[in-house]
Amino acid sequence: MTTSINIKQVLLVDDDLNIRTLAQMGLEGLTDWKVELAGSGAEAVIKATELQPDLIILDVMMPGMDGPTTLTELRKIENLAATPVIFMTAKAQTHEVELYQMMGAKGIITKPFDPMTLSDDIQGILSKG
Amino acid sequence: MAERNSYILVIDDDKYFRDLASELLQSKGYEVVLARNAYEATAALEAKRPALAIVDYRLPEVDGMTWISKVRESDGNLPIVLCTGNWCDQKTFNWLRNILKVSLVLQKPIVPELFLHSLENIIPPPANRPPVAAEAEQSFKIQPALDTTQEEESLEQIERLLAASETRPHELERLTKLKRRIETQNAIKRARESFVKSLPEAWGELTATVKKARENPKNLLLLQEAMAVAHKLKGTAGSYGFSKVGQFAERIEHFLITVDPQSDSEQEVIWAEIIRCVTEGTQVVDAISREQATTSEAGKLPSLSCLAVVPEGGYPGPLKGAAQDANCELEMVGSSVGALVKFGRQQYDSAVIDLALDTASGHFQLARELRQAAKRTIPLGFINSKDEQHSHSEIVYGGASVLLDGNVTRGNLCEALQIMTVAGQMRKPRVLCVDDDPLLTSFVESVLRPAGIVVRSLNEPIVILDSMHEFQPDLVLLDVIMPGLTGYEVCRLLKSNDEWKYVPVIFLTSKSDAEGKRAAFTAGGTDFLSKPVLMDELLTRVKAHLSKTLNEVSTRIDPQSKVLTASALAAESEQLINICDQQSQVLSIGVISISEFDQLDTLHGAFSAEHVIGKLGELLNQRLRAEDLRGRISDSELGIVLAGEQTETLAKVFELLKQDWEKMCFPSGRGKEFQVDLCFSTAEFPLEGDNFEKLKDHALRGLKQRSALS
Repeated sequence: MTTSINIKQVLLVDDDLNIRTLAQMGLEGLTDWKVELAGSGAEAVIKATELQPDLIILDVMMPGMDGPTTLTELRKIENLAATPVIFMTAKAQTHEVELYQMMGAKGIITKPFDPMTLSDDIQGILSKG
Repeated sequence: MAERNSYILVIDDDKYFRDLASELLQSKGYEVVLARNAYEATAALEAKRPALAIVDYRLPEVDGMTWISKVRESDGNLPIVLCTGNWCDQKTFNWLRNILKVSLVLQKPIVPELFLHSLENIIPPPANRPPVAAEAEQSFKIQPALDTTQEEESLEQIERLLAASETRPHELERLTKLKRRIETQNAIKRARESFVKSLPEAWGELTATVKKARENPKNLLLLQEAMAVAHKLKGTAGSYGFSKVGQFAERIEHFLITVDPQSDSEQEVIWAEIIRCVTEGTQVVDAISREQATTSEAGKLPSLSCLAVVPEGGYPGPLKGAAQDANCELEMVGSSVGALVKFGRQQYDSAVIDLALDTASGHFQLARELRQAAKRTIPLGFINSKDEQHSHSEIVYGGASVLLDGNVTRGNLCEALQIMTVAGQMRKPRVLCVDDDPLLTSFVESVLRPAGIVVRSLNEPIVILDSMHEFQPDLVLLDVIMPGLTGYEVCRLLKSNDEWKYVPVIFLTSKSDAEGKRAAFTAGGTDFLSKPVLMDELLTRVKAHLSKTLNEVSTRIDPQSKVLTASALAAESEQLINICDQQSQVLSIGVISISEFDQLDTLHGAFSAEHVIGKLGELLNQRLRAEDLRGRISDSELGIVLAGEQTETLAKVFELLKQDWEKMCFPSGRGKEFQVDLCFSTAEFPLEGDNFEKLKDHALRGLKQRSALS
């Protein structure tokens, strides 16, 4: 399982605490990544600026700033322009996948996800390049 | 992470301790650097990071805890062991564990073998070990593993395999990965359990928002809100493995999207579908939470079995409810004959009798007969639902640990069952089980409790002294590896305490090698059990060690009268007096003397006296409350001790006792039956004495005065 990017720290953004808990459990339990959490788009922008994570996982549907808007904001920040971003969404129709990829997302994780295979899925997306 | 050629830093101002520690550690191949104070320690730390620091609590100028706080500012992971001369309180201990992240607290003076053995759990000795092995071991041994759950056995299997494959790096890597998977799975399982609890609420929110949107079909905002809630639940419930709930949420979301607030036509069809999904989903959620409730309850063992002798169709609802609340196994029977038959077939721990029940011989007689059938002084509860007139002394003499007057409710019945549980436990052997893993302690409970042993679980070993004092166990089961504190330290504490040093301690250990065994015995343990603990072995060993205590119980019982011996009565009375003193309660002591006891054998033939005292003891055991004390004071005198009662009540109790006694005739060697007179006298705490001896003497003086008068 080799990835082109060496990941140490991940920022996970979702407004649902239950999802944050579960995803963090799966990722930290099975990889050596340190998973930082944000509960909203605004918090994500602040934390991403401060932490400079190696990967950002963004929920699409969030109150206030939604996933795509957050991504646009993140891209404006220096040093974060090239950080890989993966969207997480419960709506994954083909045209949406294309749309998100056009926006510069590395890929999409569909909800519901299996916490035991989440890290493998992410590594799969990242290794596709 | 452990670095090769890394060292252990020992910080102590006591030269003797430094020398001892360094000698011990070096003998195991560790490299050691010594520091006399915090400044030297910091200098050493800055020069090179140690693999472990052993810090004394008391250091000149900057104390140990302050130094650790400083270190933690820059190094959150350095394993630290704190040595202290005093047993620390819970607050300090939690601070050490959670804030300062101290790996282990050790008690001074150290015991060399235990010292090394305990440290090996944190940092394996460097001798001839490949770095991978050391690293892998560190990764799971520094901090205690996550709470182990059902997978405990497989985890332990892996750990054994890990230990066996120290020299094979590939195997180690594979096993370590497997271990992480199981641990993650366990963590997720627990998260899932707590998510289930919030599921009805989350589903309720969805139902409510859908309903609101339905009632205001033109309101786009409400519709969107309902969509958002459904959308969220679909992702969350599904991810937690409740795919069915997720699917219902998904369908609801799907239908909500197709609702057109602008249009008037065909909307009803869509809404009908949505409502159907909501209803079906609700049923699924209900089923899930019910299942969860039953599985979590299934693990709970009844703490008491009870037979309720109540009129047919009395109040089965409150009784069943109370039994559930009090975790009691309850059976009901509608007649006194039925009750006696049931008691003949099966052992019950207790009985509840309704005084409104029709009985041939009277309720108090039924109470006595039940105890006769049980061959034990079981705790009793009386229900006086019809407000019949019974004096307090009748109730006490009848043996009611608790009396329910008037209305019977689930609440007061539950309380009654709990009181009877406590009263019934007075005579059973007790085991305190100390383990940070609640699963193991509940396993121990489930094995020992059916064998008639009262088990108390303690998941926080730091407060063991409080538990010992409160629970007064006959035996302690002790886990070796607990977070921040080894079982060895806890055992040493017990053995250094005069009050507890004779209580047998059985270690529960996953290290059953020779060294582990030696450490267990060095610390003062009586025996040890290897983990995973086998049910049969646990029961057998506990029983074997308790048998000493249990035999002691039988040596505490006078063989002739089947009540406590004089010394046991004195000891237990003192305890009871202490409790009454703390609760500002009175206590009464009564002495019952058998008239012309010495002459009974001469008058009526050999063993007559023994027969008489045996019958008196039996009567006392069948009457009075389970928690009252009965004991032999001298050859011809028995004593009773009643907490919370005044001598006035006791005097009336004696009247009732006399009535029973006068019905009793004894066969005489001379062919005729004979009867025996009893004399009584009493004393009350604190009025007539503040300890058992004084109270007893007061009552005995009263007896003498009475016989002088007559």
